[in-house]
Amino acid sequence: MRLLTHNMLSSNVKGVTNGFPLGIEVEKVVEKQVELSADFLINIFSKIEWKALVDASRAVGYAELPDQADASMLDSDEFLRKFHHALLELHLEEGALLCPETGRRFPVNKGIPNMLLHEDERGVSHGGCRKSNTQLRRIKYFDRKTSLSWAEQCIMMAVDKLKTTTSALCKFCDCGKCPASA
Amino acid sequence: MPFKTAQIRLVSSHSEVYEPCDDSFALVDALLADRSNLIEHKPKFCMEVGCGSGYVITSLALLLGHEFHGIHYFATDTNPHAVRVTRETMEAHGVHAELISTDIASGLEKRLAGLVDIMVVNPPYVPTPEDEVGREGIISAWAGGEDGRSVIDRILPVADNLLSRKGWLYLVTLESNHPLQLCLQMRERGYASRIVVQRSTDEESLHIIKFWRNFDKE
Repeated sequence: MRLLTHNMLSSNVKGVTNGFPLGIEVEKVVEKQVELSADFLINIFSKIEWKALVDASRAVGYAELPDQADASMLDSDEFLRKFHHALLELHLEEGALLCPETGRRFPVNKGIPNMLLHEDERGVSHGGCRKSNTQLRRIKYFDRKTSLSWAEQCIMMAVDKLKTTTSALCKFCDCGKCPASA
Repeated sequence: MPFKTAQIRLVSSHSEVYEPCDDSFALVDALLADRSNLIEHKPKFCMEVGCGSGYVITSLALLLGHEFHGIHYFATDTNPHAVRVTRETMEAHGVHAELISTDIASGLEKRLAGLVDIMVVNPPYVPTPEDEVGREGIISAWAGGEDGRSVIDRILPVADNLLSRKGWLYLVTLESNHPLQLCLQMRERGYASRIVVQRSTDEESLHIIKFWRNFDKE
């Protein structure tokens, strides 16, 4: 995870009003060189929260960024190189991000921050699924096959049922067209 | 000539991650068909929501070029296995995206708002019972709830928030998602749209729709 991404991430825990910037817990940092694009840096400069970038770069062990920066500094090659290095070449590989308000820890493994919330943190119910892959593939196939003609299926089901008993039909069909729902 | 799309043999896999399929290929075909426009568009930030195996975002990175051109990629998925598989797929092709395990773009919506020039989404569009939506693992790759629209309807406002003024969105939809209705809904948000690729298979009829902000209509 580059510090660019750290600069774009906020805590998403329900009820947090200012979740930026996230704190950084460092276990492992890696450096990966990438070619410098002055155009990109000049364009992105105004979108970067400078203090957050300075603090993040210090947290991962790079102390070369000036405390303050303004657009006039973008004329300096040296400034661009430092800005580029901090923003794009330092990766938080292992560690965590911390919500500044609640202290909630978002782990970072293999360079990937995990911003997924538990149920009570987002207030939306997400059940777990324990079915096997094969079963799921079958369900998927079945759904794809049938989903396009749900209304037709509904009618067919109603007609089938009509042969036996009409009273059971109303439970199954509300399409408004077939005898069951009429 | 270098490959312009991801190579299947280099795409990583996991039992809980959706493998590239007709829908993925149709989306990449749409991007290829629009390639000259995409290059001319000079995007700075590209993003995929629901990156799965990484086939699509890797293909986008290969066909657009990379850091050298000042283009940066973000990809998210609600399935952490998928995000790891995407990382492996991208590494195998020598390209990079910033990856985040998250629900749609949760955590990015404040600071990345208005910065994304290209967004690609192959959402879970298969109509399923509503209680299958939002589950863990591979089911999150397709379970779309009623009309397959539950997740799509949550993604569109997020896309609208993240897209830049010149932002484009490429969205995979199924006939049963009511693509026309989607286009009309997006028109109310100020977007024009066009079907870039239409493909019918035995199983499904796919549309890849491109959306862009329509300033003429304002």
